[in-house]
Amino acid sequence: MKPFFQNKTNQVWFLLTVCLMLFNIWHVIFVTPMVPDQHWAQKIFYVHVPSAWVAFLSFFIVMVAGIMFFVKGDDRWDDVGLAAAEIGTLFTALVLTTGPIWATPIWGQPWVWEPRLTTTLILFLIYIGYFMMRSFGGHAERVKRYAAALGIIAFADVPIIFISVQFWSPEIQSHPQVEMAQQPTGILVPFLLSLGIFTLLYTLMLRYRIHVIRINNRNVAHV
Amino acid sequence: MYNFFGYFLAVYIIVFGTIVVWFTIQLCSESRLLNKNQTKNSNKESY
Repeated sequence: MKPFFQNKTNQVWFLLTVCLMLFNIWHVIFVTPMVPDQHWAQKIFYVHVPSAWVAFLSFFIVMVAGIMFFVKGDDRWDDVGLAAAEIGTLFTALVLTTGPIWATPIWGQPWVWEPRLTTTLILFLIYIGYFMMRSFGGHAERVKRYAAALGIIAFADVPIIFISVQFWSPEIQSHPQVEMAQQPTGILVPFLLSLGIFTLLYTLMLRYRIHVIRINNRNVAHV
Repeated sequence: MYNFFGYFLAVYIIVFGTIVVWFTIQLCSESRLLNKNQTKNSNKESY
């Protein structure tokens, strides 16, 4: 197998992602409007929400890979599931780190045990369990089946996180009830742009991670 | 009074720093694994 960045498409993809991300940061700093009561803290939203989107997209891919693993019985779907689970957990950790940083000046405290934060933390802990199971689960073939099943079940938490702001009573909610469609164009357009660029970054990261996992698998198989 | 810019800066450094570190780790493990593979192949050929 050749190094990932020896491929021309991957090189172009990487350069495009870097250029777009730099443009995104410049745009957020200099062009997006300053919201009066949050100032710079509001601009955290342009990376916090896309990080959450990437994490949820990744967990969706873990679920699809799990289903495909059971249907096709092909180990390549296990590689996809593992890579997506790793990246999804990384971005969930970023969401759980950047959220409290935003909340400190806005809510006056970094953490509140409200529905969306709690359900996101539960999702993160489920995936910590997923990696523990992958590491200490015993027989490799059995672990792949368990991981696929857990990936399918764990995705049930994603729609719960999404609807948690409406599902539980308003008295226990702290999360901003933001209706994106009602946002001014000055905020909506950079937000959608950031979402798109993070998705582009995610596809690159996923393909790269799958590539590295497959090199590792090949090495293990040849021992 | 909170320093809003400080919080903004901290978030951007954490997010993009993590992404850069992630790519560095992948590059290092990829080259380590490819070297391992190459060493194995050359050992097999010498046998």
